[in-house]
Amino acid sequence: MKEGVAVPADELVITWEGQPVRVTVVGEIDLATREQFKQALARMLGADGDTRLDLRGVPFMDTHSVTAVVHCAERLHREGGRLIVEHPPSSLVRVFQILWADQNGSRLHIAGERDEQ
Amino acid sequence: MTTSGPPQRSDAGLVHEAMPYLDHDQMGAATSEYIRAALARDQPVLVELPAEGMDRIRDLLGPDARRVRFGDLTQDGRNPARIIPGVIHPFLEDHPGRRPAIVTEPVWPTRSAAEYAGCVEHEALVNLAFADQDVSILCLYDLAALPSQALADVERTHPALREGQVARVSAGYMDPRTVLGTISRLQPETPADAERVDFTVVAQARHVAAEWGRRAGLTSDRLTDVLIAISEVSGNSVAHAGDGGTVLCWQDSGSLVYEVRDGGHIEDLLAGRLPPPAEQESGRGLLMVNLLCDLVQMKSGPEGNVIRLWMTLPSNGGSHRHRI
Repeated sequence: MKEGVAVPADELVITWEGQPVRVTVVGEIDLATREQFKQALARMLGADGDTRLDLRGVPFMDTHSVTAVVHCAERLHREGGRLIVEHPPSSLVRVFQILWADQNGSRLHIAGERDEQ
Repeated sequence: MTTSGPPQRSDAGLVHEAMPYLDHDQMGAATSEYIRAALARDQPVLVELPAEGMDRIRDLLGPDARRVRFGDLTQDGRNPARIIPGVIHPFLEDHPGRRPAIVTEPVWPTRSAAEYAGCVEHEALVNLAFADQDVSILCLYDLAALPSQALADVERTHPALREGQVARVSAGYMDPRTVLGTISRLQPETPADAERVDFTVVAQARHVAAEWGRRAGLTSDRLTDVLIAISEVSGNSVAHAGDGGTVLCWQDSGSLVYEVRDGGHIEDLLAGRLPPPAEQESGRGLLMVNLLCDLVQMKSGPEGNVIRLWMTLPSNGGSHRHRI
C-alpha cells in the first residue's frame, strides 16, 4: 500500500455523483474510518438502477467493512437495484471469496482488477 | 455402548468418537466399514485426512467413494483452529436436517508441538461447538506417530473411543473447559530480540506488519492475508483493550510469527470458531484470522490477551495457499 498519501488515517474522502449514483472513496477502511464508510453505504440505499462504488483509492478494507458492502449489495438487489464495486482492494476480494463467494444470496458485482502492494 | 458404524437410533446431538490405531490396514478396514454403515443410512459423509490415509480409504471404498466428499486436512486443517469453522461447520451447513458423519485425523507426524497443542484445544472445543448439532465425528489417531501423551489427550477430549466397530465410553473424558485450562498455548516463548512496535490505531499495526512481511518475503497474496488478520486482532486491541497494544514479529522454523498483546480479555471460548448469523455485520474478525493463518495461538487471562499468527514463508512452504 502507498505510504505518504495525503489522507489522514482517521478520515476518508468520499465524493458523490448524482444519478446514477457513483460514490468514490479514498483512504483505508478499518476501525478508525468504518463508521464514516457505513454512513455512505446507508445513503446509497434507495438508489435506482446501478449504483457504483469506486474503491480504487482504497488500499485496504477490513472484514467488518467488507461485510457492510455485501449487506448493502443484498439490500439494493432486493430493492431491484445493483451494486457494482469498481477496482476493490485485494482485501475485499479475499474476504468476499472466503465468506460469501459460494452463497447464492450474495449479489455483489465486482468490476476491474488492479495491481496490489 | 456397542454399535456398528456411526451410532444410529434417535441420534440427538453430537457423537464425538476417537479411534486410536497402530496398524494402518486395520484403521483402513474399520474406517471404511464405518463409512459404509453411514452411507447405508443415507448420511452425508465427509472424510478429511492427510493424503495417504485419504487414498487408503478411497481405495477400500471402491465405487462407494463417489458418495463421499474428501478433503486433505493438511491443507484445510493446517491451522487446527480452522477445522471447526473451515471444515466441519460448512459441511453441516451444506446438509441441513441431515445427520452428517465426518472422519478426520487432525494430528500427523510433522505437526509441531505448538500445532499439537492447537489440535488438543480443537478437539476439546468440538464438544462445545457442536453440543446441540446432529452429527457424528470420528477422529483417527496414529499412536505410533504421535507424542507419548497423545492417548491421554485423546481420552480426555473424546466422550467415546472406538476399536473397530465397537465403541465404548472414554473413562478419561473431561469437561472441555477443564481441558482448555491445561493447554500450554504460547509455545515456544517469544524471543527477546523480536521486533516490537506499540500501536494506538489499527493502521499503525497494519503498516508495520506489512513492512515486516515484505522484508521476510511473504507473497502479495499472503501479505493481503496478514493485513486482514492483523487489522482484526489489533482492532480488538483498540476497541476493547483501552489504549491499544503491542505488535511483535519474528521468524521460527520457516514461518513468520506475529504476536499482538493487549490488556483486553476474550471470554468466549469459541471466539473465531463459528460464524455469526448471516445478517449480523460484526463478529467475523477472529473467524477470518482462523481461516487465513497457518496457525493461530490465543491466550486470554487476567494479564491480558496474547494472540499469535503464524504464516508459512515461501522458501519453506512453496506456493502453499489455503484452498477456500
